[in-house]
Amino acid sequence: MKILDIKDLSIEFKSKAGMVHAVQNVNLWLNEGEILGVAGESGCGKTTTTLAIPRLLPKNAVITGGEILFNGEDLAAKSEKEMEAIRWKDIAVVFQGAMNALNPLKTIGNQMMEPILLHEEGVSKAEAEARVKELLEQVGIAGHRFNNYPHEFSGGMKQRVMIAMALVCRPKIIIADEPVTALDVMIQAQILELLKKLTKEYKLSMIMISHDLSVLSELCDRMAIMYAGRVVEFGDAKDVFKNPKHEYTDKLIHSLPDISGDRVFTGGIPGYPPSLIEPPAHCPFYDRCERRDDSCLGDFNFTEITPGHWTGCIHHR
Amino acid sequence: MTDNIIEIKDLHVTFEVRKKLTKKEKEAGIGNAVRAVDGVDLEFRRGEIMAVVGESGCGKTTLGKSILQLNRPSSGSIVYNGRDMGSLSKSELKELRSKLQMVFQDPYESLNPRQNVYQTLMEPLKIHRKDMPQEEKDKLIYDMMEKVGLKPVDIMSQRYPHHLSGGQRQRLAIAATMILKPEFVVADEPVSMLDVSIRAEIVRLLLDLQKSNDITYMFITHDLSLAWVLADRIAVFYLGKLMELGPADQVVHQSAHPYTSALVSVIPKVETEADDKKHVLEGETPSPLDMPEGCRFHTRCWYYKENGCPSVCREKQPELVDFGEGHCAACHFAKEVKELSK
Repeated sequence: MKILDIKDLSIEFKSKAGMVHAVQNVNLWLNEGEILGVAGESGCGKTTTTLAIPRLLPKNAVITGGEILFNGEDLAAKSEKEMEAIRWKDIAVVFQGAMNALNPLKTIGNQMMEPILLHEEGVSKAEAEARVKELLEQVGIAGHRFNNYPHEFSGGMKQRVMIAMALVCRPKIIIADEPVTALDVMIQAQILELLKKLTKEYKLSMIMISHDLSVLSELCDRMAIMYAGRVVEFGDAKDVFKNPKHEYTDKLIHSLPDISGDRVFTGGIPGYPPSLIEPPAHCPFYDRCERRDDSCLGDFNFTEITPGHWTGCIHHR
Repeated sequence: MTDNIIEIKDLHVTFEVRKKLTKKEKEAGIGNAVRAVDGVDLEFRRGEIMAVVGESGCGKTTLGKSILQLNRPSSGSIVYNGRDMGSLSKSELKELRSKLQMVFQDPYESLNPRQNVYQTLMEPLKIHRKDMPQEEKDKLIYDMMEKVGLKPVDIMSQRYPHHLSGGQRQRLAIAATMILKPEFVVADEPVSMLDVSIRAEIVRLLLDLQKSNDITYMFITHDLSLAWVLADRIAVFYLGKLMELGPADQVVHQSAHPYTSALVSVIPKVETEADDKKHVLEGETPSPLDMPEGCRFHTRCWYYKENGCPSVCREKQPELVDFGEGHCAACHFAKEVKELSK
């Protein structure tokens, strides 16, 4: 069952050089209880798309079209006041860069209790404290560290705190924006195991943003690949990884070294993504694609080619 | 005898921490010196790529900086082409600097924002090639820009760092490193800040430059799979000590140290087979101010825990043992671990 349905979403940013079409006609949905991965490189619109869901976009961003349906209601049309009731309570966010997302002047415990006391009337401070301590234990931090300040924690522990904090109001959906980037490999593995465990225990649905395809392929049920403001491929995570149906996905996967494969180094993808001020109407990967021909110059067409597997490439294998 | 460009012998680099110790801490054996590099022996063969792998704080960057004499070693020696670098005078050292170069991790911070591309590349020539005529310097700069792909040269040379993308900045940083034709380059996580598709291109560039100029690389990275593809040999560090060293393929596919095999096991894979056991280590690296006794890895070691916590691991620091073919590991149970990894 779809818990969240993004339909034809377009987002633009105002800039001095003109409107930047950061997200163009994106269609995505999140099923209940699944982990959806959104992958792509800097500037592809993955963070913009997902942060539009709790409406946490910067001031110069405008949603110019489309719907974000949650429980049958369109979040894109809601006022700031209405959104305040939904954020944290229904949809929580684990931000990138845990080191900077915590307030250095407040104890971990006080910061974590804040959303409970704000959103849930009738919950006493003692109850909130008990809930926070239990959550800290869940993410592997001793409850007595409730009164510590952020500087007393390591990077990995701060990221655990951020995850616990997202769970504090028992949300239905978690959006995790690059939750393991900038952490050491071993700590990364720990955090990923933790996320897996928590989604099961708390029956969460999660959207995970990452530029690291290999991390997503292991953790996610389904995966969306974004490029230059568009979703170019969408489907079952293992299927997308093993049988990529868009040339960009294929190239991206092959840019990663694979220790179970041959020890050869494949070069990257020459060239740069197109300017988003005047984005092309055709496939955005056209300029860098080796398989391009004149038939690619038609309007970008995102279609389902096998059940549940969507692509915007007409040369799909 | 193999031809070694750099030989490091029993190198120690210690940083003093300004901290008053309580009586309790003194009794518990906590010192106020961080042993960032703690007795390392390592040699670099001419023309090889050596990947140095490990988590933050394992001493990999400190080691690289020590080789370039950007850190003062507390003891031990670094011999470059047969000369002990510790005994060199200032002017001799300056001459050497042009032969030993470094590429930094962050192309957003390693470039001077007030210098355009041309000026950035002129800077090292001004210092190290004082006698070179201007036309020759210009030719060198434009050739270098061409080589690293900063094209068209006449337009790009006037650009400032803020005009450049992350990939272009790293190309510029590499050009500035290579313009003096170094023999030995420390590349400190040169691609970890870049996007995947750009990353592979920068690595390709580093490889091309190495081949055409016969450079020896020390490639510092936390990405074991990248190290495996690129490097001839891999050195794995943990808390300032060399844990495993050997040909890239052997280190990854026949790991002889439990730490290496844990690092290999957490590399994400699309298909996880049933017998693929992950060794996710618990907790975090211990503080280097309070190093564990015996083998410094035993507090987090899966082999130690699975095999009844043998006392030798707590009591004796393991020596680096060679299995032949230059594959060494510092573990009391290296043979057993290597068997398990196969």
